[in-house]
Parts: sequence; C-alpha cells; structure tokens
Amino acid sequence: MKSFRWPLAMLLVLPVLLAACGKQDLYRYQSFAFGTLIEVKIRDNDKTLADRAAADLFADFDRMHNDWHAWQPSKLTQTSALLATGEWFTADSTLLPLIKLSKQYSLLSNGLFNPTIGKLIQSWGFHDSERPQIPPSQETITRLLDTLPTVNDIEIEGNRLRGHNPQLQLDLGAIAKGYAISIGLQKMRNLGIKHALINAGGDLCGIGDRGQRPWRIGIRKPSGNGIMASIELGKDECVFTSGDYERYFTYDGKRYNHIIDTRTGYPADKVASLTVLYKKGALADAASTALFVAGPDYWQDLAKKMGISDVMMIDKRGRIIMSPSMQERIKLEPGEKEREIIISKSLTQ
Amino acid sequence: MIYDLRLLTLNAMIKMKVGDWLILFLSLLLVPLSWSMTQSDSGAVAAIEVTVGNQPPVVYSIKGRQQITVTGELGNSVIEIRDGKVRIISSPGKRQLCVLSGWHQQSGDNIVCLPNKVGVSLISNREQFDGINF
Amino acid sequence: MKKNINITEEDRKIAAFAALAIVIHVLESSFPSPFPGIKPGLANIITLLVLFRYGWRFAAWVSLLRVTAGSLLLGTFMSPTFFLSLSGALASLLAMLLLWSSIRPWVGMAGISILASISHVMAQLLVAWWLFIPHRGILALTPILIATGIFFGLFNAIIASSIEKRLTDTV
Repeated sequence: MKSFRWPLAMLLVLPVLLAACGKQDLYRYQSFAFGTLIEVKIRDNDKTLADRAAADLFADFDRMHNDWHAWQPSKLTQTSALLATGEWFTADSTLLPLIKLSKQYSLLSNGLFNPTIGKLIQSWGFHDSERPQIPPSQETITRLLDTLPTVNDIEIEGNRLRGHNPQLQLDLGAIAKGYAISIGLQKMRNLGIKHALINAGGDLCGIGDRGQRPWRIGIRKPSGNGIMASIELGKDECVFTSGDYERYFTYDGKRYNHIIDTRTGYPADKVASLTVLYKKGALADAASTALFVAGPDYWQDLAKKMGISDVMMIDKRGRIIMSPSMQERIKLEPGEKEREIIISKSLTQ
Repeated sequence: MIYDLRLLTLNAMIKMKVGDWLILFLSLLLVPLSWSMTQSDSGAVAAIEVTVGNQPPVVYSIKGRQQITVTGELGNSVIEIRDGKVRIISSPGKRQLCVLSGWHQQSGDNIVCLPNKVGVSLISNREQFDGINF
Repeated sequence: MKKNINITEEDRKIAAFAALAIVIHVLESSFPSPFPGIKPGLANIITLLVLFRYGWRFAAWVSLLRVTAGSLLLGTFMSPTFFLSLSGALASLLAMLLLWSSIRPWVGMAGISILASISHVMAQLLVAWWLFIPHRGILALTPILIATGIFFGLFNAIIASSIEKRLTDTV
C-alpha cells in the first residue's frame, strides 16, 4: 500500500506540468517611435517595472528619432550645417558618441557605410516621405561623386568638431536604429530587467531568453511572402537585415532601392537581402548595409575585416550564400530546402 | 457454434485490473491533450492587436469575417479579417506599402502603415516566432 | 592462467529469451512500415513475459541484449537507429520498473505494456527531435504516436497474456 499513489499521481500531474511550461510572465508593448513600429517583449515578474521600462524606451526612441532626423530640422541637421561651414564648434553631447562611432565603423567598412552622404541619398529622393519617382541625372551623380565626403572630412578633437567638405551632410539612417536599440536594452538591464526583445521595424536585438528557450526569430523571405528561416538569438545578440524591398521605386521598368553604393552613386543592385548576427546593434546595423553594398564579390573580405562572422546573403537569383558559422545557426523552414545554398569560407580570423 | 459477444470485450482477451483501466483511460486522455498542445504550437494566429500612434493596442478576434476602420494620423485605415488572415484594404499614404503587402497569416508578424501610424500585430497563444526579421 | 566462467541457469534463460526477442526484432525490421516511425514493437511481448515470470532485472537484460545484438545483426550499431532504439528501450524499461516496484498488485500486463509503449515512442520522439530533426514540426506527431502506442501496447499485452496462460497451463 505504501507506494500506491505516487506513480498515478505523477501521471495526473505530468500533463499539468507540461501545460504550465507554456506559461510566462511575458509582457508585450508596441508603439510608433523612431519612425517605425516598435515592438517590445519583456519577460519579468514585475509588471510595473516592465511597463515603466517600455514607456521609457518609447519616449527615448521618440526623442532620439527627433534629434537624429536627417532632413527635418533636428540636432543632426544643425550639426551638418555647422560641419559645412568648416569652422570648429562644440558638438551636441548626445550626438557626439554616435558620430564618433559612425566614423569608426565607416573606416572599418572601407567607406561602404558612409554616414556623410546625405546629399547623395537626397538626390535619389529617399529623404522624402513621398515616394521618389525619377533617378537623378548622370551629371548630378558624377558631380556629387567628385566631391563625395567621407568620415575623414569630420575632424574630432575632444568634444569639438570641424568639417572639411562643404558637401558634408550627415545621414545616420544605417546606424541610428541599431545604436538606439542597444542603448534601450542597456537601460532596461540597468533597471534590473534580464530578458527583453526589441523589434524595430524588422531589426531585432534581445537580451536573456524567452524562458525555456532562446528568443526565436523568423526571417522573412525577400519576396515578403512568408518565412524562409528561423534563428535563435544568443543571450545578448542582434539580427539585422538590409533588403532591396524595404524602400524602392520603379522608373522606366527598372527598380531602384534605397541602399546607395558610395562607389558608383547608384543603388547596390546585386543582392536581394543581407542578414547579419552580431552582439552590438550599431555595428550589426552598419555592417548589414556595408556588406549589402559590398555585394557578392567583396562581402566576405569586408565581413572579415569588420569582425562579423555570421552573415547570410540572398542574391538576386534567390540563392542563399552564408558563412559556415551562420549555417550552424540558421534553420531553414521545411519549404525552403530546395533553395540553392552556397557555404562561403569561414569568416572568423 | 455459439457466438459469445462477451469474447469481444477486453476482459475476455486480457485480465484487466483497476490499475490497467486507470492507465488505459489516462493515456487515452493524453491523446487529445497532446493534440491541443502540439497543434496550438503551429503558430496559428489567435488574434490581432491594432496599434494607432502611441495609443494602447486594441485586440480583435481573427475568427470569421470583419472589417475594422481605425483613424490614424492622416485618416482612416481599413483592416480586413477573413478566416485567420489579415490585410489592409485601404490606408492613406503615398507608397501604399501596407496595402500592397497583401494577406498576412504568420503569428509574430506585423503589418505597418507607417505614414498613418497604424500597426497590426498577429499574435497567438504560443507564438512560433518572437519576432520577424526583414 | 585459467579463468572460470560460470554460466548459470539464469544466464541460459536470459540468452534464450533474448534470442527469441532478437528474432522478432529483426523480423519486424525487415517489414517496411507504412508509416515511418510507427511499429508494433512485437519484441516487447517477450520483455513483458519475462518481466512477469522472472522480474524486472531479467527483463532489463533481455531488452538491452535485444537492442544491442539486434543492431549488430542489422548493421545499425552506433548509428542513429541504434540510439533511437536504445532510448526507447531504456524509457520503456524505466516505466516498467516504476510500475512494477510501486503498484504491482493493482496492474497487470495491459497497464504496464501501455505505459511502456508510450514511454518508448515518446523517448524516441524526443531523442529524434534533439539529435536528428530539430524542427518543431516533428513534435506535432505526439498525439498520433501516443495513440498508436496505446493500441500496440494493449495488443502486445493481449498476446503476451495469452502466451503466459498457455505457459502456465502446460508447465
């Protein structure tokens, strides 16, 4: 009689336990900020804390978006105007670290991520909320390329800046979002939150995990129709994708996307999408753009130089080209097994 | 020959004790239970959450057919729900990206009409993905 | 130096039952299943019989010998199939042991066989999921596997108990 109950009790308890596994203290928040839909997931026991952290994040994102706006009057456009004068000035204290980081990453990317080419991007009409319609003339592009600024035209001394190219116009669109997400997560960590995921318009960074499993991210097909693969984020990791489908216009039957190749002045058109996994949001953001521009022939060398080892590229033919370490992380969806997959050489040093 | 229907019952084929019956019934219970647990993990969308600007999101069921009109920054966006799928029928905005993106049915996905600041999130009880990267 | 190996009567019995189980195991493997992963597991009839006649230690020997020798015969030793087989056998042994040592007076072959059978398929499914097919889709098979596990668990128990009856009648 002594042990009559427990095995049966276990049988009864087992389903309950299994069902309980699915339960989490997971809080979702979403709001429009940073010019996109921001979705925040926080796993914590303290709902009040999570609520406050999310509200703070949205407020911070809104402020950063306004401060860093590349074409509406902002701290960034003021800074650009001051740089164009060629005189020394004291940089805005909130903007300075981001400008320093942008310079560092631009040099690291051999200039393929270039935060000083606002004028070129503007000429393509991507600084307009309205859909651009006509590509700039070849003369305009040649003229802009002849005097194209680089980050070397920004001289930094302590907290003072000086510009060396009147054409210099800052556009931090390829780094600001990643930088902001990482700052946001750091703030949450300081508040004592250990598990959170921020999704800013399709680019994500996570800390901690989902509970019982890592944060699991679906990667959308470049065609936009369905999920092609999934990936589980590390304890502190970001996944950023640059794609030719994000912003584009069609003129005379040709499609022009918003990622401009600083070498040609035209949109980079050899890649459909490029995905990067990296710990730091700012570098993940900048690298996904730079490697997209680098294209099929150059991305591996550049990724190595930038210290990025997990890269997946979808080329225009729909082929997947990825690094061996990325292959270990990516799980293709069942319907995607027929896709041609090319594994590049290892990108680790 | 006499046919005895009792021969067809379980007790005639094997001696069933109390524990045997209990185990049989409990394990039969496991079938529908595991069914509901594993099938709900397929990422089927349970509801949508509509966010307008920085207002708190509003939840709508995904069942049946309905049209929802919300007023965003520039005007009205019309959301259509049909049998577990969602799309935007109309929304002010020059590029019409959210309208052109068509039907969505993947949980964890978002449809965003950026100019009008209207966002639609597809949520499920047990999401297959915590977020969608693109 | 000469070492004496004592082969006891018990060893002979274990070997004989294991041999019987291996034959069933190999025969069953040679018939392709219409649904991959779904098999009656007829060799468990022997394990059940041994359990009720000689106790769980004896049953464990027979079951593990069957998995190892069976895989050697089929040429699957140390392959994924072997580990699947082994995990299933270990899990079902554990289930048997659990029932046998706790509520033995209240259960017969049916209950033990059903639970062992479910443990068997679930262990295999989890191992397959962890090691070989780490895709969530595979877990969706759970209800089907449990249902067939119950059916064949009961089926095997009925056969085992009728054999057991005859053995008791004749011996």
